[in-house]
Amino acid sequence: MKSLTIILNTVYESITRLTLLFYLAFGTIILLVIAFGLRGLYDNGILIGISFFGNQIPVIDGIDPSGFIFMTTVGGSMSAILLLGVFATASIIPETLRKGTIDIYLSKPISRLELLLSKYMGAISAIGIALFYFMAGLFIIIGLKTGIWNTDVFPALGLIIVMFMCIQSMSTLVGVLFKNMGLVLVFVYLHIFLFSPFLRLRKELVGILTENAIVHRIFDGLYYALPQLSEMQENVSFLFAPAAVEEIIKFSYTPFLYSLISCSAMFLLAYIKFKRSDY
Amino acid sequence: MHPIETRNITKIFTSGIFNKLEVRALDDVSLEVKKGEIFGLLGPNGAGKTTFIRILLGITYPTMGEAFLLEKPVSHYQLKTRIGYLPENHQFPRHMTGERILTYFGKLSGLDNHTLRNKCEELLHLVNMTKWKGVRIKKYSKGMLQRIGLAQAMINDPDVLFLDEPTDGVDPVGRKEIRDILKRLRDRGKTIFLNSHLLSEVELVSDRVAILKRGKVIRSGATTEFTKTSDEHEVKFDGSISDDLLNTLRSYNPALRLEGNVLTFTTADRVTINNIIDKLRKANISIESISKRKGTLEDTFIDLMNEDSAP
Ligand SMILES: Nc1ncnc2c1ncn2[C@@H]1O[C@H](COP(=O)(O)OP(=O)(O)O)[C@@H](O)[C@H]1O
Ligand SMILES: [Mg+2]
Repeated sequence: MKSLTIILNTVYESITRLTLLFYLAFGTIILLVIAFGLRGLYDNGILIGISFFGNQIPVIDGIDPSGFIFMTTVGGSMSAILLLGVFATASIIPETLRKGTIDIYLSKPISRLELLLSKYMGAISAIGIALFYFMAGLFIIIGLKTGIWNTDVFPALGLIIVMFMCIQSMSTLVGVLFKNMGLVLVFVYLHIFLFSPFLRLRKELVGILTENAIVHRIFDGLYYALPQLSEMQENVSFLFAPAAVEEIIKFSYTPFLYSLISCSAMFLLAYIKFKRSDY
Repeated sequence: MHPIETRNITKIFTSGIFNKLEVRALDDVSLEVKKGEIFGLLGPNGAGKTTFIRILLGITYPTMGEAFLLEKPVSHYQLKTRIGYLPENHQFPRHMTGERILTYFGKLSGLDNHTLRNKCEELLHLVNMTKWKGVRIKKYSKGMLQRIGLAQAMINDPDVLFLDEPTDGVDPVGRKEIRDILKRLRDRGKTIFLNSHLLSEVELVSDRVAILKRGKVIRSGATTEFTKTSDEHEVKFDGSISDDLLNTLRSYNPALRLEGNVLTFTTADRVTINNIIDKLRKANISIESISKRKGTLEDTFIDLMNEDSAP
């Protein structure tokens, strides 16, 4: 009950703060572009291909061409989805921990775990709403335009939410440690756009510098300890890959599972720090 | 057991990673606050007052000692359904309206919607904020924020109310209103714990006070004990007092002091007072005024502070 109150208020807060609306606006633009540029090509009522701003993708061997559209759109917007999503929620924990605010929260009959978890879930709900709008919008627009109702969008939505659960765990940990939105943004963006791609290619990149086994172990450790955002990003779009290209691109759940473990561990650390701190 | 009890609370803050800096914010503080009384914790800025409240609310952890609220260790967070708190320099989420703050934090205090609706109306009226309830708090003045903060602290009809510098930023009329609210709450059996560096505020409303200085309780007791009238008399006069006359006067009261045109002496004996006046009149000294000093809490406070800092 109290958790729900906090979750709803966190969502409400991110809407009034406009950051979430910004996110929704971005989704709307993408949806409009697709609605404008996408057409189904029919021959005697049978779909023979799709056209996207004049580029035609024919149906070959009965393979559903909508997968390509989803792959391109979701894969192409992924960086923006992450960038804006992090921005929309980065302030939640630092704001909660501000002197004068945290005092009031902690004077209420609610445990520190419930408070932190509710704020966390509030952030995920806010992002979830924006993502649902975007993904369901894609599903409907592509369905209406081509007659293909590709239900892969829904597991894809779930997987993107898993990515945000990992990101929010990081935000929470950094937020609890430094109580500063700027630092949350710096850490999370660095991880998404630098560390994660680097760690993924660590064997090759570190290999250039050293053959030292211990160094390689350390980077392996980091790789598994932190959420594998780079792999997850890629695998979300792989979800839409038609069966015929499975040889080349194959969807895998493992980065999501590893990342969920890392996500729980980071939240746990954040909680331990929060529980033990004086405010 | 009393609603608020602490035993030997010590709090040491450490900061800095390499050069560990230690601040002893509280030093062996044992206090009890009885049910139905207004207790004032006084002290200059940095004395440790806020830290003390935070420890009682489980927001800060004591380094040593024990704290009890409503007969339970403060770590029982469920007991906060019966506690109200107005933090100093509170920061409510800025996008909320006054009314929404009351409902949001009321729900977190465990109130149901129905109770909340009635309580909100009542409190907004009590703190004179009904007109402003639909306005976002970023438009509020300091005084209005303080009123909403007070209403927020009272939303769950708490048995124990903590107020940290409640009259901060409030105009004199508002201060009087707040004092009246607090007295009414006390009369309904509520226990109120008040922090302030403004002594005059505490003096007017508290039943008992404690004075905190650099983390130590240097004095505590009933407010009346601090505000008792002293037996110090001041005589203002016109003219000059000769050494002979001064010696005669000192024969009645050896500790008598002369500073410019003011004679000061302490006595409870009416005969002494009259003798001194008689001698002055006989020497043709014209008396402007005779007054008896009232030892306000402020004087006591300042005296105590000075006393302690003297080498
Ligand atoms: N979180 C903290 N970390 C380090 N020092 C602190 C902290 N909170 C308070 N202090 C120090 O403890 C002392 C008491 O502060 P405080 O309780 O706020 O005093 P008061 O409320 O009487 O003005 C001050 O010296 C203050 O600097
Ligand atoms: Mg203070």
